[in-house]
Amino acid sequence: MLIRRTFVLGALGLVAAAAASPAARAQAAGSNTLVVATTQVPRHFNGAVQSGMATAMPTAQIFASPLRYDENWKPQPYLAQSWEVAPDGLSVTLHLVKNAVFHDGKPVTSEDVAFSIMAIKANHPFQTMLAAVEKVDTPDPATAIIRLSHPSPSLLLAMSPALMPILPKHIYGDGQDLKTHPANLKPIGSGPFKLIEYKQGEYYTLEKFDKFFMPGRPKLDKIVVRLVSDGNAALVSMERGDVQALSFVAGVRDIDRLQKAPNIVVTDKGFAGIGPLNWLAFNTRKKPLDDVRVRQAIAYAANRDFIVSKLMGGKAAPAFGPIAPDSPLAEANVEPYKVDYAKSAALLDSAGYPKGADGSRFALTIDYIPGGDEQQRNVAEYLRSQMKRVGINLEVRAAPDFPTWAQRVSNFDFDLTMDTVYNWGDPVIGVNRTYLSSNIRKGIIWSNTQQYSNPKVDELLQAAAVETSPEKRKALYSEFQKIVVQDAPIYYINVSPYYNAFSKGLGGLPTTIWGMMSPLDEMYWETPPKT
Amino acid sequence: MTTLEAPTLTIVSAIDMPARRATSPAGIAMRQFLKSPSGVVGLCLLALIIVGTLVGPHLYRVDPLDLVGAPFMPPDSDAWLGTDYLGRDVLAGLIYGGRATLAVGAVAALITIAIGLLIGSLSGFFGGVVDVVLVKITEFFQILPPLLFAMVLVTLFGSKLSTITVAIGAVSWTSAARLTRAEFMRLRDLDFVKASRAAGASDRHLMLRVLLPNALPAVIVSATLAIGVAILFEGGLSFLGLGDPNVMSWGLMLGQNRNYILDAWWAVIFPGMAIFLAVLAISLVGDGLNDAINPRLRRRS
Repeated sequence: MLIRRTFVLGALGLVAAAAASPAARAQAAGSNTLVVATTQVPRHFNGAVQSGMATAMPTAQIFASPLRYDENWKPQPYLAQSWEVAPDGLSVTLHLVKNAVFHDGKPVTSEDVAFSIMAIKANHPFQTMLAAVEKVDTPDPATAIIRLSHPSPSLLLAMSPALMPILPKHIYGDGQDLKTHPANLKPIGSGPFKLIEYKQGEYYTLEKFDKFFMPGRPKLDKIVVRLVSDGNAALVSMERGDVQALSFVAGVRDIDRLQKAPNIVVTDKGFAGIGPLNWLAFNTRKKPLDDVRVRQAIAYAANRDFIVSKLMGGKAAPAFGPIAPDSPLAEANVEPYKVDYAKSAALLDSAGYPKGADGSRFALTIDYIPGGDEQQRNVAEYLRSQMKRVGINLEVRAAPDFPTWAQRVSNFDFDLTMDTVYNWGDPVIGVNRTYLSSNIRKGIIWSNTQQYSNPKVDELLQAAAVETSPEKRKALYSEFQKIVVQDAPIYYINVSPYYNAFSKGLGGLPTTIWGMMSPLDEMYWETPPKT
Repeated sequence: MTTLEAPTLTIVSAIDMPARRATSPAGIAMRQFLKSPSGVVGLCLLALIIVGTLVGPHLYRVDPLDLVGAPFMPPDSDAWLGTDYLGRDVLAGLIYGGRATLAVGAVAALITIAIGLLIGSLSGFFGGVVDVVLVKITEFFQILPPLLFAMVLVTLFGSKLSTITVAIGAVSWTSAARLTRAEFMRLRDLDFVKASRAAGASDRHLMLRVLLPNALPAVIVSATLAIGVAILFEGGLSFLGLGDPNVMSWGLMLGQNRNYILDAWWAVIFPGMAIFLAVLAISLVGDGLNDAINPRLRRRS
């Protein structure tokens, strides 16, 4: 009797342990599975023709790329086991691994690399990314030589999994338009996981690719990615352990709640590559904002510290310039525009806008991207009351939906607007577009909608884009950042707070510069935690 | 703001009357109204709210859009009802926001009644083809989901308080039109109307001088209730993110603070209570008025 009771208790204990630990639950589900939830819903799985985090995450699992990156912006071998940049900077030679095969069993060759690079150049929204590439030579199946019209130091970063998936030429090279290719929804790559199921808008399932070319990887057998529209539901699932990873968590309160949960690890690492900046943009061709003193005055009255510490609960890092602070190219020594109402008022006075009898100087409107309340609307509303202190009447202009906002801003029909723009690794990819005077393109959002034009800045950016010496390049970008912050076409506020959350018991967390947009082939379940 | 007093005008003027037993219709209605306890409670509550929003801003001089402290300050001595997600004073929001909310309610109700009266009276008086066409138009608007229709209007013309008010009026007039039409049709064939017609009264005279005064009681009750509906509507639109961010209103407070209800319940509960009390007061007054000026109902009781 006693023995039997002990046995029953023991069995109950086992069941309880299994129910309580997410790791055990995932393993009990039959395998070594990870369930991820995200609000980022991909349109398809071909990152060669589509930018954005939603597509980049599965793209990095399904497709391999020439290089991958660690936490310190150092390139690591991936499909390319080694690579050389020619001394004149006009060619990059990739030596491919010999054992890589696609999910359909065909080998990965330099032909595929050449095809993919040219396909991305032709189709990817980031037009500056591969602008320098002229052609790719393939002297043998294991060697690809990328020929450039001018040196392109940003090219190595563009070879990341999120930006340069290597597509099988025998599937995507059949002449169909790549943007609408049927294989975009049934992708074949050479990455660590293959897509086995996709339920539109609900979930997709990735399964370990047995013939993945890196030995011993991936460590997980299966990744199920649940696409959720309700962040709150995902949060509850995460707390209960039904979901063991949450990617791209952005809400301050959500982050706070996850940080307080005992069985969850929360990290903001993994977004350095994206470099998401949240800022206040000025229409620099519109009076009175055409006067740099007015823009600086607004910057001095805005109080970044309050926004970051109070409105964003300290979950966001402050940003001071056009290059995200986590980038090795970021220049910390720029004018920080520490809050100074007296200075702000003096600047406005000197610009010829004295206070009127009613205490106000002039009226402006401020737009914001609808939907992003914490980062956008709240800051816009806050700025309205801040600007009143220095005599500027700011009216908040709500847009009912994103296209309305984008249309206003891209057609220069705005005074001030909140905006969020991503660096995407190298400045050439995601920074230049905001400042080059050649990129003042009416109707195109996230171009130089501020209509900022400074020949010196154009010159610096063009020089930095082709400068092969890292030190000289950094110096050029430093000067660029100092000038742009001084000219203030934009007042930089913060790095958008993005976090990933993982169940405790998961190892090999994706904390590289690309985070979840890098292969998750090193993730594994440690011994399930004791309960 | 002056429009605000429209529904209560009859009562206020009746109070001013001498103490002797009134024999005018308004006087009779007044006495009836005061017999209804819920009506009196509603009236007192409504008067309190109106006085609060009219006088409050002169006593409590805090701009509802200004930041007075840190975000999410709980109610205490610094901010009596706490601060919201930006650090704006919730009490100031309630006091100033009441003005916008009540104004939206009253003006939208006026628009509702104006359109409803026009369509309903023409339809009910003339009958025939005019009636068929106008009823079809009314039915067309009736089958449009009102909230969705209002959202489309606000989306098209922008989140301004004026647009929101007009949108609410434009989507909620159908019941007033149907009510007016029914009253006009009922009255049109009564003997005193026939007598006027036989005496040579013009259509215009019949509609404005004979039928309208007799149809008015029902319309007034419906107008009163329309204010409550409009206030709820404004709250609903703000809740969906279509409020005017430049004018503080109860609906806006509710809509913007709801995301933070776990951090700052006070910024949601107080405006929510304010909307609830205002709509309750208006409904009670409407019920009281209904009992007081509807002679048939009165006879029944």
